[in-house]
Parts: sequence; C-alpha cells; structure tokens
Amino acid sequence: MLESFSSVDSSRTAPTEWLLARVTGRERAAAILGDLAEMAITRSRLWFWFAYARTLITLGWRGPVAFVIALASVRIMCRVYPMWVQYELRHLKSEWQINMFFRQLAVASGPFLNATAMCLWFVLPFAWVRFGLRDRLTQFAFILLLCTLPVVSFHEWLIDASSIATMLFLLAAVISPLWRRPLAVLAGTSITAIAAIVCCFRVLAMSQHRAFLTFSPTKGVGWLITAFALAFAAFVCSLLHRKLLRQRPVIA
Amino acid sequence: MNPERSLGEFEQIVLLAVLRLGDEAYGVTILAEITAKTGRNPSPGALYTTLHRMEDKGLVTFRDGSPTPERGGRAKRFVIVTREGRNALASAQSAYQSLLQGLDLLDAQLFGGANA
Repeated sequence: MLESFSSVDSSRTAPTEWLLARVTGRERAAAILGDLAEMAITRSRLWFWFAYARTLITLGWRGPVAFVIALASVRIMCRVYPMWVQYELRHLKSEWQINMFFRQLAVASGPFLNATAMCLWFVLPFAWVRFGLRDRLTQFAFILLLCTLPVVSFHEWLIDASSIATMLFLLAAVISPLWRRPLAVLAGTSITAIAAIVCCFRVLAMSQHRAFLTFSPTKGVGWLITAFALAFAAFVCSLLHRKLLRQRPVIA
Repeated sequence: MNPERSLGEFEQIVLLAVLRLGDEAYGVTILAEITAKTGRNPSPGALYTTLHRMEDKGLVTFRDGSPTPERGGRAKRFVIVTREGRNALASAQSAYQSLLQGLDLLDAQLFGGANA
C-alpha cells in the first residue's frame, strides 16, 4: 500500500498549500490539496507532485499573463501616444481655437478623458485575459474606451461628442444596477494605479531632494515604478472583482 | 433577473456528475464519476477550473465536510448545484433534445460510411 500523504510532515505541505492559496484562495487550496492527497493514495508520490504542478498552472496562469499583456499594452501606448500628439500638433492651425459647445466641459474633460483612456489601456487587456470577454468589467471597460478614444483625435467636434458620450455613459452606469459594480471596480483600480504612481514618484523625488512637479526620473526607473504601481493595481482589481462582481449563488 | 447562462460541454458533464452523486459530490468522486460514465480522464486542474468558474457564475456552491486523516486533516468540499445551475443545465439539455428531434443518429444515409 502506498504511503498516505497524511503521514507526510505537515511542514512540507504547508508551502504547497500556501502557494496554491495565492492563486485560488485558502479554502479552495486546502480542499484541492486534500483531494490530490486522497487520489495519490492509490497512485504515486510523483503523480501527486505532477498533478499539483498542473493544477497550480491551470488555476494560476491567467493573472500573470494578463498582467504582462496589460503592461505591454501600456508600454506600446506610452511610445505611440507621444508620437501621435507631436504629429497632430505639427499639423494644427496656429490659430486653433477651442470652439466647443461647452467650454468649461471641454477644459475639464480633456485631462479627464486622457487619464481615463490611459487607465483603460491597462484595465481593458488585463480584464479581458484575466476574467474573459463576457465579463461585465471587460465589456464596461471596452465601451468606456470607445467613448474616450476620440479625445486623441484633436478634432473639436469629436472631443465634444466624446466628452458628452462619456459623461452620459458614466451617469447611466451609476444609475444602472447592472453596471454600477463594474464602474466601482474600474474606478478603484484606476485610482489605485494613479495614486501608486504619484506616491512612488513623490517619494523618489523627495529622496533626491527634487521638486515633485519638475521631477523626471531616468527611463528605467520611471518604468519600474510604473510596473510596480500597475502590479498593485492589478491586485486591487482582482480583489474588487471578487468582492463586487462574483455572483451570490441561490441553492436549488 | 439574471440572464440565461450558456453552458460549455464540460460544464454540463460536471453538473450532471454532481447531480448524479448527490450529497457525495466532491473533487475525487466527480472525477471518478466522469471517468466511469464517459471514458474521459480529465485532469484535476481542468475540473477545479470549471468548478470555480461555475461558482463565480452562480451555478454551483460548496459546503465543507469533515476533515479526514487520508486527506492530511483537510476537509472535503462538497459541490451543490444551485437553482440557476439546474435551470442552465435543463435549458442546455432542452436545446440538445430539440436539435436531436427528427434525427436518427444511426441513419446510414445521413452518415454514410461502411453502413451506407
């Protein structure tokens, strides 16, 4: 009879359970490890470790892959967007006037739309890979990105339309029970990302006795800070998604 | 009211196995039941991914059993199909039955081959 895993020193299985709990939660991890131990009684120790590794990868690959893809998306956006802005500014008329219908809205919404679009360049690919295309957060982020994207067009009427469409969509999301929670998850993730980046840059500026608003770190350091902040934002996004968007079951 | 859930093939197999096992449905028994009834040998990871996805969709829920020595003192986690899971399964099976009506799967003319 093969050695039962109940006789294995619990200190050896604690790290495996801890690692599995990082990707699937503590209760699920304990139950899964118990199942594998029970099945391994009639198989082999090698089978147990092989099954454990496969289960760990199957349950945990989405998070890291989603983060890497989202980070690459931000990286591409950071390279393409300045080039696009410079191209547009070169071709703008010298007397370009902001002739928009709602002047105050235009002045306020431009930076807001830009910031929203930039956050969505991270959140959308992350949510798409992490939670799937049918997930409400993914769909919400996609619609919002479509609304805010015209802000980079530098055409007045498009920016007007984009501002109004975005405001109406956000208002509808606040009112609608279906979209209120995805909005909360998106807002929490975006605020976390922006706050983390600002805090890190501020701390770095203070450590080098530089003024925050004029501080410009080296490219590598700046990117490292951004990646760290976005990793934290990805963690918050997953946490909020689990708390707010996971459906409560009704037992038959 | 939640929109109807469409079920994948493996999700339906897992739900049916859970319903067949009743109160004894947990990871080990579900895998054994699927292997016995379908001849498939799904990996534990595939099963748990499906169960967790269905829990997130609200199709199943879990209740904890008692810890046992052969599980290293860990409790079993029994699976229960929710009302929404039953409805989704019934809807999927109804769709299959509707598509199968009028079709004779042993019909030689339809499938040709050595029986034609």
